[in-house]
Amino acid sequence: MAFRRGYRRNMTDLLSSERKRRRIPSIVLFAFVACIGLFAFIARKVGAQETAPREKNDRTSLRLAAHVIASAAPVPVTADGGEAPPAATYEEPVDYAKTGPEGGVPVHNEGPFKSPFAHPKFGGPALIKVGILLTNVRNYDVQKGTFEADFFLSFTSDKAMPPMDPIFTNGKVDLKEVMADKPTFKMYRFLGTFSSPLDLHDYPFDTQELSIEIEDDDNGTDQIRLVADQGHTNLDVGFGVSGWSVASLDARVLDHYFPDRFEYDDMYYSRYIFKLGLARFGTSAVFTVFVPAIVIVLISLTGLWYPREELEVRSNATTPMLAAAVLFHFALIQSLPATAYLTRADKLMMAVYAILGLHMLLTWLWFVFDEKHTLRIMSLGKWIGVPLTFAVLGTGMFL
Amino acid sequence: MKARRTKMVPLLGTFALLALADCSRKTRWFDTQVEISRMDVVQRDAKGKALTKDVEFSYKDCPGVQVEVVRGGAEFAECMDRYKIGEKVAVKIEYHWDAAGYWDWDIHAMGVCKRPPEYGDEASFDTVQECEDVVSNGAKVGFHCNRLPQKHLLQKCPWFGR
Repeated sequence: MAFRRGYRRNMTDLLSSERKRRRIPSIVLFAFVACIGLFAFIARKVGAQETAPREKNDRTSLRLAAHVIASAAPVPVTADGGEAPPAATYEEPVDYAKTGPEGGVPVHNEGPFKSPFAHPKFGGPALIKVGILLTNVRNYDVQKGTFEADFFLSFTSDKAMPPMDPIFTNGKVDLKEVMADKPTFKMYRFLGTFSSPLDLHDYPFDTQELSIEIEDDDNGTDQIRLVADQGHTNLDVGFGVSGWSVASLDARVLDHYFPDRFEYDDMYYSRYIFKLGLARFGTSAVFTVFVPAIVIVLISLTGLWYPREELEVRSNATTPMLAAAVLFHFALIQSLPATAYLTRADKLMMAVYAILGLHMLLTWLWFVFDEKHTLRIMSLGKWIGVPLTFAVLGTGMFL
Repeated sequence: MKARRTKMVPLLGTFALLALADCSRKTRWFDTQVEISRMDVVQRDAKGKALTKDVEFSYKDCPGVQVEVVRGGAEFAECMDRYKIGEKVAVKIEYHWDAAGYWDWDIHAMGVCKRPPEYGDEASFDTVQECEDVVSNGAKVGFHCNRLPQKHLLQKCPWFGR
């Protein structure tokens, strides 16, 4: 009996647990539905927040945002330079370019340019003043000509600009932050890596130009004309590049013409070029290049005072210096890229080689001529070799 | 005796050169006039009294564009209230050799207001440049500003020499 009661209780427990199990799915289902509802609610809220900044950065959204940009007449700007009322939807120029009966590239028959990227309906170009504030330059690599730059870029125009997408033709951007995106004022912060050609003719007294080249992705000169704004081209407070001093600031605009990429590719593009001139510290240049070279020459020069009896000492003052000069020159070359010309340091080293060669020649003359000329060769070394040494060294230094 | 004298000559020459080098780094003082272009209170205390003030001015008597901003303490801030933007004031400049290895200058007084320079002051800064238009094919395409002081600038305003 006890077994039966136990069995019945067990069965009852089992049944009840089975009922519980049956109930669980309905609770889960209810919770699931509630979660979905909650999730949908949150997603809607979050989605609304997320789309705003995306729109700011998204070029397509910008274009579709349909703010400003005229179809025929220039867009009016309020007297205080504020936002102009929207005149018409921005129309992609390529969308209304007409394709000929034989197909091919769609063209614009009205306006000065036939290119499909021309915008004859835009109503004249917006004059855009480009301002730049360079806050930092890091990791300037003279061998590669690359550097990292951190800067603010501003576009201020007299009339509404088309949607802008600045690209950097001599580098890549690692960070782009849109700080303002108004029809007549746009501001960005960029952090990127750029490269510039090097001019090492005057190395180690060289001045290098670090350039940042900016061009809009597809707006030609019929829509935008960039102008370098001198009043708003600056370096940040405390700006400096280690090992270099700021020599100049330069900004200019080039009307860039692409060699034909397709038929009727006749559009010009405004390219803004900012250049920071950096001059290498002169003291550092003197101590790292000139002083070692002069020391090598002076040590070799002392050898000219040794008589024939001290031939070994005399030779040892010159020949090892040649090895030292070669090694020193090699170390200098290693820190620079290959050039098709001689730098000032190369010219100096050529002079050093010539001087060491002269000193060696003045010693070898003893082996060429008879012993009776020993004293004459010795005085020749002193009275001609020494002035010639300084003359060649001077030529190498200042040529 | 003669040999000893001969040996002394290079030694004395070296000392003379060192003395000359030391003399050439002597601090110099200059007085000039500047035109105030901006004055901003940077920090105030709880009562609203100015603690620090930025004064931006330009050296109108020097060729090119030289803009400088100096920050001064409470006393300087209060004293500078007597001057207006656009006004020309006399400044006292100390031109000295900096430990960093170049010549530098500090403004010690503006008008009647004393402004003791602070070591390591990162708020004050200057822009010394001479700009010219860049012309290509007869059209102005940009500008070029030289930031290394040129001879004619240093002749008139020697404290800009680095």
